[in-house]
Amino acid sequence: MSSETGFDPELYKRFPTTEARPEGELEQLDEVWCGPRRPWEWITAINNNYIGVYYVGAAMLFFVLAGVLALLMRTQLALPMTGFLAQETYNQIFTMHGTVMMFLFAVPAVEALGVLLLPQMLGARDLPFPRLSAYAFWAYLVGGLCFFASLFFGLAPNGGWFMYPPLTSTTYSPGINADFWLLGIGFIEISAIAGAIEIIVGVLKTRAPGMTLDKLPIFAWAMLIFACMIIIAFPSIILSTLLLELERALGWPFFDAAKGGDPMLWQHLFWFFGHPEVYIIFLPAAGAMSTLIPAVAQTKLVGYRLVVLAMLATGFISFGVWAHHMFTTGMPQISINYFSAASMAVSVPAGVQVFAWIATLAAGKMRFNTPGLFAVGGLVIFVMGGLTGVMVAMVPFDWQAHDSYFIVAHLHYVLIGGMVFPLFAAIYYWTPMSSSRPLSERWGKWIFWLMFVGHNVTFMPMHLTGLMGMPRRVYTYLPERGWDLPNMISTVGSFMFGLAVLLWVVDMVRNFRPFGNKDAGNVFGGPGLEWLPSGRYSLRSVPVIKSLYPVWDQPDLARDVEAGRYFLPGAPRGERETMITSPINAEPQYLQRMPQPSSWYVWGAIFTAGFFLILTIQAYLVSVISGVLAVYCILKWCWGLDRPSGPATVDVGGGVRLPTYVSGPSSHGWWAMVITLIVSGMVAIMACFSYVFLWSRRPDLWQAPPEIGSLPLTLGLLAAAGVGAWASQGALKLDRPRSAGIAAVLMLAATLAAGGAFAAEASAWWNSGLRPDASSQGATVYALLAWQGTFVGISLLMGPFVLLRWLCGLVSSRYPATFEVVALFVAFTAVQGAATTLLIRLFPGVGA
Amino acid sequence: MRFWLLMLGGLLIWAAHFMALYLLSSASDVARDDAGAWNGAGLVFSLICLIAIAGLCWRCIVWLRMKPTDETRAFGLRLAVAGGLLGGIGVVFQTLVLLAPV
Repeated sequence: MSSETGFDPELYKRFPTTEARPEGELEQLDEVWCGPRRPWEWITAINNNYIGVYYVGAAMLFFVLAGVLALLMRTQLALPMTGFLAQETYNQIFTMHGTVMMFLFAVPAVEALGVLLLPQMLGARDLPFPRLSAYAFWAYLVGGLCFFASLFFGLAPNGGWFMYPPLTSTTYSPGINADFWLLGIGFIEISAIAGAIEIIVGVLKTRAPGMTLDKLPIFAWAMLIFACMIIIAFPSIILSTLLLELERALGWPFFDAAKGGDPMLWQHLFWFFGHPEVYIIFLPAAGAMSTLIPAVAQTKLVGYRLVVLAMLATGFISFGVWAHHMFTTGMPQISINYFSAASMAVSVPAGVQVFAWIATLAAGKMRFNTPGLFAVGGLVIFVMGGLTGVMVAMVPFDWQAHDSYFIVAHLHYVLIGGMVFPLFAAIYYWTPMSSSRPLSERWGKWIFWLMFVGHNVTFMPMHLTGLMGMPRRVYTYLPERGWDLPNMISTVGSFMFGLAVLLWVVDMVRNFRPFGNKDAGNVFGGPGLEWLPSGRYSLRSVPVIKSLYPVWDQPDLARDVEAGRYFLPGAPRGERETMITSPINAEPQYLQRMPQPSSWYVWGAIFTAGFFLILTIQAYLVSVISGVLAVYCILKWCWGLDRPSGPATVDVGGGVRLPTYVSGPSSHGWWAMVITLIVSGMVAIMACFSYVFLWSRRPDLWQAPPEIGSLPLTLGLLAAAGVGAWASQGALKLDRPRSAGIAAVLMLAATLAAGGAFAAEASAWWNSGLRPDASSQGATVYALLAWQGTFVGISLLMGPFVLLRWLCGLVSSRYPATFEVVALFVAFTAVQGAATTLLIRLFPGVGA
Repeated sequence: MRFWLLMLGGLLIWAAHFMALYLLSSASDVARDDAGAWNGAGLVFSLICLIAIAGLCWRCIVWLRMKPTDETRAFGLRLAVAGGLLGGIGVVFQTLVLLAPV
């Protein structure tokens, strides 16, 4: 094997080591990674064993809550012209059902599964940013509960989970219900993106040595692709929610046709997120299926490489199908044809995965235990949903079925078969890893059959009700239209499904024993590292991986890992730490110091959620205070970064020494910042698309940009900001007595230059007479400026932050990681500012 | 980065092809002039994409026939070939749309 980092693969031959481990090493490891001891520490815990379980638990809570809403809807629709729910209440309930299922259950549930499983699966002590995971979880839980509670005050959103304007404009949705959705989704987006960053860096940088890409567990591949898709797709929903909220709050006409806006813009932005979202949910579940089916069949996955390719292809093609939700909007015929073709093409990689699962089951010896039943049941349901998906990908059929109950049936078959059943399979399969008792097999089989039959009884008739013309989202219907019987059958089925979920909750309460010292063990004979004996520190020692199925193919692995005969058998520096490896060959690079629990990220999360939610009820002062407190907590959290500690290198076992500090592209922090900037860049790209799109709708309304003479000032200041940020880290690297001070001052100057450029550009546009509420041009120009202004604002916070760190002696050429990521951010701000400025100044030229 | 670009090359070309065709058709819609010319541009671009995919696959197959000892590299190359084939099917499939009567 050739080396990726200069690490000598021959060193792997030293493992497993043969010498005895020092006394007290295991006890020290236990102590360093100890669980909560005081009540408060249950909240500040950051270890994935805790946060992962909390996360899965919270996601399932929202699944149950949204399920209760579904039962309410089905009760209302059981008979024609019933008055069980008022029309407005029904509207709020169906909106919340979709929103909670998609945003508060589906994405967080699969992200939670990643946080819980990945460290053990990859052989890491924990994911690289445990505080970020904790922050993401608490923001999601606090915000999600408050968001859900809006239902009890009649303030829940009521415009459907995709919130199309003009229905959701102030004209037709005058209350604050829609604002709850728009701002409430904000913290969920932040939470999902934070989780995605954690997962990408975790999968790429914290794998066990030797776990090269061809030996990467299929679930980790799925989570990696899932997280990358979040990074690309979520910016679109961030932007669209911002734009609609700006229109509602300030009257900026992005979607108001009278002033040059276009509701179609919302649909493009929403579905650019919304359709990949389906695959964002599906891929991790498919990864779980590809992991547990080999265990169920006791044979290796057929076509591992093709399944990886299929998941990658699904990730790509899913971004080319967004407009198939818009076939009835009057788009150009040729565009419709492209999206129709792509929608059919996406079934190819999905089919590859399905055939791989069937082939694996056929090649092995299928055991009909609960995970196996859920896997096969999910497969059947998903294939049925996929087939109706190909039907609605055909434009003429879609025109007939659009917005009917046929679509409701299709999407539930896809989502329940593609995500819910696999999730239950995963829960049954992996519970013995997190709990001292597995869930009941007997109950599990009852639950499966109730759920499987209940699902089909609920949703199969909906195909017919849809084809008979029943539109979705109606709160009641007239009798004698042929819809009565299928609706009654659907309602009966939904209660069967509900009973299954209730039994599952009871089974969880009866049998789930998390956070103990023991787990139930490898009940299903799984082949992955997560089935090795482990503690709160994950594996006792991090093994050298030689196979895709290490537990099956390396017979003495469990014994040697538990005896500490591999990498990192203890805590060499007496603190929490994990090994960082290279992204392709997983070669050991350095030892990452892991944080200890504190309360700053919890408060940061609470105040972040508070900022968004309080903004909804228009208590602006309190909201701003909450926002400022969130920023303070996050800065306080960041203050502890890059503290000097301990020796420069340590022995991580077998005489292999690794550095304890690394900066630049090898460091996990640098990767996280780059991914964050990709998110930001995607938002800017989508905003630029919005600008061009709205121009193409009504070019006659666009006025000339400000005089070209003011452009050099803006660009010059931005160039100064970029160069200054770049030069500041160069100055720090010089490692001379004054270099830290010079670097800090240069950084401050760079942030001020970025601020100056923003002020110059904003005033140029203001002086040109263009106003944000006057036209779509004004709205998009000022939206782009506001986005840039946000970055400038953060940069202006970072400048003094760096200066303060220097004054406190925390800026040093030996510990430049924090400084480098700040420089990266400021340089990005300058580049983004230049790009957007050039667009709004030079396109479409001097007025149409 | 080269490893990732090679491994994902076919799919990246598919993505670029899809976006380009969508942008060309949108531009054609805005310009409201001769759609045939825009379609012609799309066909030329499709041909370029297919040649790029074929080149990528050929290069990877040549490397694979040299029996690389590095398993990870071989994995990446096999994935690149399979991704190229899938991307190629996608490009052809999308291009068929252009051949429909204007």
